[in-house]
Amino acid sequence: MGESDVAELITAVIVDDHPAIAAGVRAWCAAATPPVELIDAEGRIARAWTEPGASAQVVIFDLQLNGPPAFRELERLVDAGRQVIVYSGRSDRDTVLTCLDLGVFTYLTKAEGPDHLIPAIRAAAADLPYTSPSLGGVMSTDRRPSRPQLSEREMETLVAWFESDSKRLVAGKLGVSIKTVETYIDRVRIKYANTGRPARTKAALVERAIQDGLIAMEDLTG
Amino acid sequence: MIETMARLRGRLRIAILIVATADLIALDLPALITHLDVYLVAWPVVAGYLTLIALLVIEGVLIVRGRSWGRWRWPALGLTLAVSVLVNALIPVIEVPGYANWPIDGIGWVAVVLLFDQHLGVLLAVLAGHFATNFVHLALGGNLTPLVLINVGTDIVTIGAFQVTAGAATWMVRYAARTAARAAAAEAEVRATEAIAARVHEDRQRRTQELEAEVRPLLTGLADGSYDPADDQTRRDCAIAAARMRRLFAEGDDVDDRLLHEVKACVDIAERRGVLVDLATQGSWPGLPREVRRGLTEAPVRVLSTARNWARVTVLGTDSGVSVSVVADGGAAGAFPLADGAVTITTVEDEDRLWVKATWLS
Repeated sequence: MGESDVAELITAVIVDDHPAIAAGVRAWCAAATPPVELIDAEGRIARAWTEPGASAQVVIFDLQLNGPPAFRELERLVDAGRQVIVYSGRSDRDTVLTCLDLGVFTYLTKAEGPDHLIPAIRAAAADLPYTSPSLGGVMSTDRRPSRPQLSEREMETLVAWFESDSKRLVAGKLGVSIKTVETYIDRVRIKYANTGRPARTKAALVERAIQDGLIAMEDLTG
Repeated sequence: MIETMARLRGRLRIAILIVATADLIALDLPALITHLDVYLVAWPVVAGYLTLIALLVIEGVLIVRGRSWGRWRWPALGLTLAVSVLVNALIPVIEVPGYANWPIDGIGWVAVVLLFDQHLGVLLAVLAGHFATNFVHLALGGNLTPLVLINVGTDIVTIGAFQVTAGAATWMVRYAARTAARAAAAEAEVRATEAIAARVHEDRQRRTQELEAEVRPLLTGLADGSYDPADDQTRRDCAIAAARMRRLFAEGDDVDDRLLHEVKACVDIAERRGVLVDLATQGSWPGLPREVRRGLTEAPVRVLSTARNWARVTVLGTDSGVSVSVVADGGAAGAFPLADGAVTITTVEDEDRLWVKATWLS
C-alpha cells in the first residue's frame, strides 16, 4: 500500500482468545520498521474500551471469541469510530460482507497474517484503503443486489489479486503498472465504503480517497 | 408405502366397477325391460343402456391392461350425460319419479367409474348436472308438485350419497398416494444427504488422525528441545501442519464438492513433499462434468507438482464461470496448451514464479 504517511509510532490492540496468535502478532509488530506497539486485550473486548486499549489507533479483532461471530461488539467498536481489522479464521462470503457493511477497515484471514497484517495496520492508521486477497475474492463474487457497480477492469484486477496475492503478477497479467493495479483495487474498496450502512469509518475512507484524487465524486454517485 | 397405495387404488377401481355393473344389471336392466312400453320411443332407451354397459366393458378392459382413460375420459363422460338427457326426454313426465327412470342412479355410477382419480368437484358437478335434468324435465312437464319433488329428492339424496362417498374414496386414495410419494422422495433425499455427510465425516476423521500423527512429533519435538524453533526446516514443517489444520477446521459444510475434493487431494500431495500451500476458495459453482473438472485441474496441478517451496492455489466461482489457479515457485512445468476442451488456460511467468489459471465459462 505504499509508504505510510504516519511517521509516529502506531499503537494497536489485539482482541483474540488464542494467546499464540497474540504472541505471533506481537513478534511481527516488534520486527516491523518502524515497530508497531501492540496491546494484548487477552481476548476481552472490554480491554479495547479501557486504557491503554481505548486509545490504540487500530483494533485487531478475532471475530469468533469462543462463540458465534461477535457482530454486535464489532458494530459498537466501529460506531465509536475505531479502525477495526477483522483477523479471523473464517473466509465465508456472508461473514466477510457483513463485516464490510458494518464498516470495518479491512478483513484478513489468519492465513494472510504474515504478509498483510502489518501493512494493513499502517494503512488503517492513515485512513488509506487496504484490501487483502481474500477480501478481493469476496468482493469479486458478491452477488447481492445492493453491491456496488464495478467496471470490467476492476473486476479482472480483483480476481487476479485474489488468485495471485501479488500485485506484480497482476500487473504482468493485465499489462498495466503496479500503481494502476493498486488504484483499481482501492477504487473498489472505496465503492464498498460508499454503500450500505453509513459509518464514520467508511466516510473517512471515502473522504480521504476523494482528497487524494483516487476516485471522483461522480464515480460514487453514478 | 407407494406400492401399498398403488395396490389399494387398483382394488378400489375394481370394486367401483363391480358396484356400477351390479347396479346396471341387477337393478336397472329389470326396470328397463319391464317398462319398454312406457317410453315414448323404446329403442333409443335400449341403445342408451347398452352404451353405458359398453363403457363399463371398456373400463374392465382398461383395468386388465393396467391403463387409465386418459383424455378419452371426457368424451366418454359427455356420452354418459347425453344418455342421461336422451332417456329423460323419452320418459313420460309422470314416470320420472318411478322405476322407468332407471338412469337416475345408473348414470351416476358410470360417472364415478369414469371420474376415478379425478378431483371430487368434477364428480359433484357432473352429478348435479345429471340430477338437474330430472328437475328440468319435471318443470317443463308442469309436474313440480310437492309429492313428486319429495319422491325424486329422496331418490337423489340416497343415490347421490353412495356415489359421492365412492368418488370421495377414490380422491382420498389419490391424495394419500401423492403424499406417500412425496414422503418417499423426501426420505430418499435425506438418506442421500446423510450418506454424503457420513462420507465427508469419515474423510475428515481420517485426515484428523493423519494430521495428529504429523503434529504430535512436531509438538513433542518443540517441547523437549529436539526441534529448534529458529531452524528453517522446523518453521516450515510447522507452517505446513498449521495450514492443514486451518483448512480442516474451516470446513463446515457437508457438500459433496468434487472439484474442490480433487484440488485438495493434489494440495495434500504437494504438502507431503514439503511445499507450503495456501489454498483459498471463494464463490460457488455447480456440479461440473468430469471432463470439465479434468480440464480445470490438469494444468494447475502440473504447476503444483513442480512447486519447490510454496504455492498459492485458488478456486473461484463467479457469475461467469469457475476457475482454478496456481501460483508457484519452480517454473519447470513446461508449456501449456491455450485450451483444454471447454477450458481456457492462461500462463504468466515472473522471474521464478509461474502462474497458471484454468477457466471454464458457464
